[in-house]
Amino acid sequence: MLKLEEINKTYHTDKIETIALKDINLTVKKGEFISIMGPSGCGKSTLLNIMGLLDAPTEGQIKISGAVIESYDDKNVAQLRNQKIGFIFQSFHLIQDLRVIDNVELPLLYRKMSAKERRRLANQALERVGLKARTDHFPAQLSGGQQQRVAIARAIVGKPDLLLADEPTGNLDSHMGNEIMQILESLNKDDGTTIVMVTHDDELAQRTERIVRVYDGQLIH
Amino acid sequence: MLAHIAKLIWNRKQANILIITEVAITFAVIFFISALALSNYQTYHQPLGFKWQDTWEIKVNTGAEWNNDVDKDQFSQLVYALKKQPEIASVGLTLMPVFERSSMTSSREVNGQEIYFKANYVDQHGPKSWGVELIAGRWFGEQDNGQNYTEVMINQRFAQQAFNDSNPIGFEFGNSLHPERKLLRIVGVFQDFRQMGEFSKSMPYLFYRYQLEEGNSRGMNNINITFNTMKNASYEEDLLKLLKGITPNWEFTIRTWQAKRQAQIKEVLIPLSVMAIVVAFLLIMVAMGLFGVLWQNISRRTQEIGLRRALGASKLSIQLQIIGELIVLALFGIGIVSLLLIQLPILQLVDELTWSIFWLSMSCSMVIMLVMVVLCALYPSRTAIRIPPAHALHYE
Repeated sequence: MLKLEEINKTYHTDKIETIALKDINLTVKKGEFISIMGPSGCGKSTLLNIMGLLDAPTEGQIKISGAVIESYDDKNVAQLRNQKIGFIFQSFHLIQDLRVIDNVELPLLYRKMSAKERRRLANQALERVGLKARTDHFPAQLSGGQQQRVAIARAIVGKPDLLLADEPTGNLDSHMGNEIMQILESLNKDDGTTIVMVTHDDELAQRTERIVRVYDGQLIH
Repeated sequence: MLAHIAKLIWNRKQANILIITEVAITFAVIFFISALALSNYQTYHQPLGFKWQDTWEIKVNTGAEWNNDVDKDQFSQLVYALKKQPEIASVGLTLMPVFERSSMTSSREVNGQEIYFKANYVDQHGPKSWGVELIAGRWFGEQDNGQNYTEVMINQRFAQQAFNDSNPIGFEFGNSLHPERKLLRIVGVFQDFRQMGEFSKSMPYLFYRYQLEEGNSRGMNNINITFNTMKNASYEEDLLKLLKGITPNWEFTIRTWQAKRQAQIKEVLIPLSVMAIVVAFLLIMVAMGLFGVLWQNISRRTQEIGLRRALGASKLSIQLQIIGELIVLALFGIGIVSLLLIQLPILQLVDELTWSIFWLSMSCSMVIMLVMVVLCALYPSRTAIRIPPAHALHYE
């Protein structure tokens, strides 16, 4: 599903060179649910960003569904992100001025699709996360857990091959965190969605199939 | 996508009020500047109504109040002497000189309409020799001598205002304040005579006839001559000698209409140039204000831009969306102001603001405003989309 080969990422400022990731080799199989753990600043999020094509590696190669990402041309990666990858963020990143249904429809706006079809898929995704009754609410009218469920619905509405979750329970209490985790597990088990989750929570990480540990920009085996 | 943009704009209406207000004020400023510029441009390009190229003006200063009994004869001698010169093709008289601000303004009830007009005394040969175009009727002539009416000619604008499509020739009207005076009879209609030059508005104009033999209590002081062959400045001295020989106590100033016109244009263009500079600065200030408001608006949306890119939007589509949103907002601001501005021509609050100038100014202002919005949005939106989505998502 996803293969990272010899990935290096270095940030340069005028005087300082910071190595964020070093010689990362990682394979995520189709249908797998893995968690990435590590201390703050170790490069977990950078790794997730590179997996999600939100950032380009300084060196190395990424393969998604067997295809090598040869060009980081904006239009090309935008299309790949839209078609193949779904994102869930710690702080939800919902657009506060749009209703729940409109937030969920967002990724579909960048596809050639009728408004009717968009609405159908968005309703389907909201039903999947148990928020069918909240379509016309605004994010501010929802609890943190509900907002994250909207974000999950948005991430899955386009039926992506890969779901990347950056500390999806980080802003939630344990009860709500558990709810979110259950949804992710269900998406993985029932729908076969491949999920990569960055987390600090060891308990949640233990519920995934595999834990990848990062320390100082390197994978620890 | 359009429905999405509309939804977003509507839901952010409070945050968008600042942009709409800024656009509305800017649009109003640009509209008034455009209307002023277009009105002046249109006025400048309207037919002047006479030729100025080959005419000289001799301004006569009698040195005292005009005494018709005495001065009319001396003045006639001057005119006859000039007419005898073989080089001189025509001699015409005007009380109010061309390309100067002096004018006679009056009003009369004509055909049931109160007409405000400018007037001038001319002799029967003058208008024809200056290239004034006769549209209907005839020039002043000997047939008007000794009649029980006072012959006048009016310009086309006067005719349109007073008579619309009906024929004004032969129409007589009086002066309600002086009913004892002879009625004025319209004997001819000429195209126009914008005596005060290209920057003066065309308005109803009326020629009274000045007869050398009878003179005029108001006097006469401008003799305008044209030549058979072009004359240079040295001829001016010959003319002065001739005139001084006849009336040694009178003073004469000779200038070409061309020189007077140039001086007048210069006089108008200097304040206009200063105003153009002030306007340019004003527009720059307004553009900077708009730029600041748009930059603030776009910067506040950096996270949203990062999110949209993460969800699959390309840089181009985001930039187009931002610009599209701002254009919709600008059109909204323009729409609100337009509803107010259209009251000006409807209620005829400003004479110069005709419908043609209104629509033209609207179109110009709208194009300038939209170009300004796009230009002001380009840089901040480019800056925002250049932030990698991974960073934009965490932008505070």
